[in-house]
Order: sequence, then structure tokens, then C-alpha cells
Amino acid sequence: MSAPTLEPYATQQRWQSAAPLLGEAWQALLVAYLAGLARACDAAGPCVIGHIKALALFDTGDYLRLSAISAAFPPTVDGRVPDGLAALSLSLNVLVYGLPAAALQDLTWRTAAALAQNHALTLAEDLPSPPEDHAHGNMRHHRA
Amino acid sequence: MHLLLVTGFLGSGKTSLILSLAHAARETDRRVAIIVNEIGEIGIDNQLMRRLSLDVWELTNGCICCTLTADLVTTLHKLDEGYAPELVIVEPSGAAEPANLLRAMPYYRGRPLESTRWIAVLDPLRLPMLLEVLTPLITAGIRQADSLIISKADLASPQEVAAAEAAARDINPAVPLHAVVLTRPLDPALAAELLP
Repeated sequence: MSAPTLEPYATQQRWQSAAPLLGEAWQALLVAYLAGLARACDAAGPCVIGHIKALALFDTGDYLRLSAISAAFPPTVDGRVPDGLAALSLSLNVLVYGLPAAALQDLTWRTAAALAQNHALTLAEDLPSPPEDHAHGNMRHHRA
Repeated sequence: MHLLLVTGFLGSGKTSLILSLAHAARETDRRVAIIVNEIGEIGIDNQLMRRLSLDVWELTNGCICCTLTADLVTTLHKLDEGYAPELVIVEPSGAAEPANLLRAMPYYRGRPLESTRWIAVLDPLRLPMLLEVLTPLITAGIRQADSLIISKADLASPQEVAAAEAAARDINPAVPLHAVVLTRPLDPALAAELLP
């Protein structure tokens, strides 16, 4: 069997609620999102999910990292969402062998949009932003 | 300057292991730099590492094992001259061919590396499938590593962990191998063994 090809897809999303939510509610929502996206990839055709990973950073210093590697296993979670947020930004990398980037983009958006609709949330997607710090060619340095 | 290469397939637990090792190294007051190469336009691992107050150099817009190999050497030079770390941890993307990185090292002309060590992280939940579908990539990492870490020992069944160990031993019989739970702090003795 020849190795399947990998076309990475990345995006940044802004999730917005009409009212502040508990951190646990945001976390449950995003876990459901990654699980749903993994299932959607699995159902879209022969593929190997390499890694679907997401990160949200918060002004409190907290972070939430989510990771899905298969439709058969629930996403893993590291960190926490602080209580009382009405919106959050999510960076997402979708690394799936065997599905073209255009298909991943479509699945990523459709899965998120369906979840947002079910939970009365609004959703926006942004192009990846440039690095915060100085850059030298292909090298970005981020000092703590 | 010691060089520690941490490889493994996408989602195997490389970043979690690096966070633990960097934390352990910093507890002994060692100056640590991390070079990260991620696939995709958004670097998630470097954002997390920065949030955790680690010093991170990110290689972007390509793969560290092919198009960015020269950038890795350049970055090591810059680190050596401007930051003088005692330990550099390199995290290639999970789709990289790690042996290519070591082939680039002779082109590094800075302070001689005191040691180069390679740890491969294996995901017991997916190793049998990956060995079947991505055979060259996965076997190369196992065959050439100095140490193997089987991650997710809390998520995998004992049978899955044992099967992963057996599969890894088939490829590299003599390599030190440890099954760990990366969501917990690394055992200090193991951290000391893994760190150069």
C-alpha cells in the first residue's frame, strides 16, 4: 500500500456566545467539536487522522489544548477555560492523510457551524495571522 | 551544547514529553532552547510553549527534514552565538523523516555538540495501524532512536502497551524503552536518564 498524502489545513476561529459561559461548558463544546471533526474526517473517505489539535489562550494566563488522533478515541484535553467568557479564539491544525485540504476546510467549517447553531453561538473564521515577534526568513524566535 | 531530538508521529505525545523534559532541565538551572517545526500555517506547539515560559525558536513554511534542513543548522548557529544554551531540544513535525536531520549536523560549524541524543515517542493506540500504513516513516524512527517512549499508558490497555513494546522490540531489540503517562510529571529518574 502506498503512503497516503498529507495536505495540512489550519485556521483560526472566533466562537461567541450571547452570554458568558462556564469554563466547563466551553471545554465540553470544544471537545465535542474535535470529536465531531474526527468523525467527519473518518466518514469522508479513506484517510488516516494524523493529528487534529487546537489551542485557546486566555488573558488570565490559562490555556486549553485539545488533541484528537482518531474517531475511535475521545479527544484529550490539557489546561482549562476560565469561567465567565462570552467568546474565545481557537487555533486549529487539521493534519489528516488522504483528504485534500479543501475537503478538510469544508469539514472543519461545517462541523463547527453545526455545533454553533445547536448551541446558539456565532462563529467566525480568520486567516492565520502573522507571527507576533520578529522573523528572520523562515525562523521565528519567541523568547519567554 | 547538547542536542536532543524528540521524534514521533503526529499526535504521539512529542510536545508533552518535551514540556516535561524542559521543565526537568530547567529545575537543574540548565539553559534550554527548543526548536519547533510544525506542519501547517499556525504553530500551535510554539504558542503553548511560550505560554509556559519556554524559549522557543520556530521553523516555519516547510519541513525541517527537507526544505528547512539548512534553517535548522542556521538556527543552531544563532543559538550558539546569541543564547548559548546548554541543551537544545528539537521537535520535528510528526511527518518528518528524522534521520535527515542528523545528516545535516556535519554542516553545523558552531561550538562542537557535546552529545546528540534521539528519543522516539510511540503511540500505542495507533502503532500497529501506523506500522502498516506508514511503514518507512515509523520504522525509521524506531530503528535509529537512542530511547523509545511509549506514551499514553493511561489511555491504552495493557495489551496495547505490550503489543507496542513488542512491535518496537522487533525493530530495535536493544533500545531502552519506557511506557509513560505524559499527562503526569515525568519520574525524575527517567527524566535524568533521558536528558543528555
